[in-house]
Amino acid sequence: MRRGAYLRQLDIDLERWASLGLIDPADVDVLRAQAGPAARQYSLSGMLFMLGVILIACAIMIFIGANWQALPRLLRLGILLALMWSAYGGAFALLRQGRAVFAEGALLIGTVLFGAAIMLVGQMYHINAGWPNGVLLWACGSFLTAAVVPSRACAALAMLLFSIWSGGISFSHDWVMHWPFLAALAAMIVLARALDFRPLAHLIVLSFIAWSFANALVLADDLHDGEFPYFVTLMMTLALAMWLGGLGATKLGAKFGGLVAGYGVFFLTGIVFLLQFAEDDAVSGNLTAVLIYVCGGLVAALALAASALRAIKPIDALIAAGLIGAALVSCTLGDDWPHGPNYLFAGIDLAFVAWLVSYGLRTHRTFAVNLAFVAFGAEVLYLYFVVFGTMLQQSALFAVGGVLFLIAAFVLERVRREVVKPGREGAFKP
Amino acid sequence: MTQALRIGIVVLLQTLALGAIVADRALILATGREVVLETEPVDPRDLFRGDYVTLNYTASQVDLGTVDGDDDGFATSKPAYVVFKDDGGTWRPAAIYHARPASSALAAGEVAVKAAVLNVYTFSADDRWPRCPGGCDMVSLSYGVESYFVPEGTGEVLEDARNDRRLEVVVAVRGDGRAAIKALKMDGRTFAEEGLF
Repeated sequence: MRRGAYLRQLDIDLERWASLGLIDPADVDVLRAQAGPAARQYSLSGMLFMLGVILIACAIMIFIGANWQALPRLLRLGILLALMWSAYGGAFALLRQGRAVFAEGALLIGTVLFGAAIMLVGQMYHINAGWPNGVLLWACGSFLTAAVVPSRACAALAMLLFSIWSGGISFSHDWVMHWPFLAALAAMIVLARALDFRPLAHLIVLSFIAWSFANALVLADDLHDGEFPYFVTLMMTLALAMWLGGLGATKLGAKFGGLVAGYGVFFLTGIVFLLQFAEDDAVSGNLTAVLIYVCGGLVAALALAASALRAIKPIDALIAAGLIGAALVSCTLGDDWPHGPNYLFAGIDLAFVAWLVSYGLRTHRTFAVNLAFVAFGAEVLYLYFVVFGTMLQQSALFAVGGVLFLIAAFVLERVRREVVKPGREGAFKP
Repeated sequence: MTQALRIGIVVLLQTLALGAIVADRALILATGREVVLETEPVDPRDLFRGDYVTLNYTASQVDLGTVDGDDDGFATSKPAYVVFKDDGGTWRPAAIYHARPASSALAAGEVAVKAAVLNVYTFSADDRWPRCPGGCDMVSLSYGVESYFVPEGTGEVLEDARNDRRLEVVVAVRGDGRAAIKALKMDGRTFAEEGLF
């Protein structure tokens, strides 16, 4: 639960408990103070200022892009430098006045002007359009501002620029893998921890997923056969690693472990759905063996570690093993597999959905439960549209699946009633 | 560390970085050896993108069978060094290497230019590739001088000259192989010349 939401809920609960006589009304303020300071609040004026800053930043870039031919080059560069220094000077003055949000805006303008100056120099000397190294330099300048001053806005800009840099290099070389991005990512992770900036952590994870997706496609593209199941297996390994690793890291006190685990679950849901499309080509025997050892071994190790840390239950570890096993099986399926809907992997997807619901309920993660219903709906829709010509098979699958779900619901309800029966030792007490 | 010092460090380092780029480029233009490159037409579907002209060179694709140096082992995004030889005012690729050749290994009328490998192609006789109808191994290169920035709306003249093969580009090349555009020649006459600043 976010800090702001937690404190609001705490206020409501304290008032209710005091009215019910559970706590002394005089203790309400003491308990509230114990919870720590209120979460950082952003005022309307602060938000409007940031929007204005973004618009100004766009105006600056477009102005530079219009070539600005009327003035001599050095004068243009000098004006940009003067504006950059003014922005940073303004940021300093605003920080001294305690206007943190406005100072962030000024720092952002200064960093954008640094980027504009780099692009202008590139224009002056006809350095190749696109110029990934220019973007890298801008990203490094933004990172420097974020780390030294410090500045959260510049940190977010740095992550965006590093992503653009990596994409630019891959694209300019006709899509190649770009490993140096991981070094930039590592630096951003350290920065996110230092700044305790959760939105930056989101940005980092999303950038990493996008980079992994693109580079896995490049890797798979080099194969003659089995590109898609190979790609899906790599993505399945990554998603499971994020989920298991994130949960394990949370147990070890890592700050954003839960966030990584959440994205891992989200990613996993998508990949499990894709699994049913991965049976067209078989991956070569040698590569499949490598995948078994590397991907299977990694997932097994992470599942064991997470279990040892009590971050997951045995059923969760089994699910992880089952999913990576399913992906590896898809690598071995060849063109002999009948065309049409893959009932095996459709069944696996439905089983995964059922597990996801239980996982979300057990761990109080509402988003996992909601995600499960979305995934369930997507699977049903897919099967409906794909098997339109064989409605009898579809009907049989839905009937069997529906009966299984009903039986499971009946059994779980019996168990739940037994567990919450009043007077039963260990039963929940309100 | 005070706030003033922190912001001061950021401003200083960023200003120095900009100064370093300007100084580096100015040094190439001031001290680099001049090499004249022939341009080639660009696919007419590549429209003028608003503020720069795309320059494609005859030397942007090198047939490994027609030049000296290394025969294979070129890989995408890795560097390559192309040795240009003066051929009556226009410079043409004479050799290509993975690593920069020593200055002492170059003859009087030769210059080594650093490039990035964009792609490596193998054409067979069946492909009937115009550059090598009998088949060849071809390396596609970027020298870092494929863009020329112009005032908005003025690039069409250069594009037409490029597509008619009337445009040549004079690049300055430093000892380490890095190049920068120094001037443009149209119909043999200097059309635009870049100052140091």
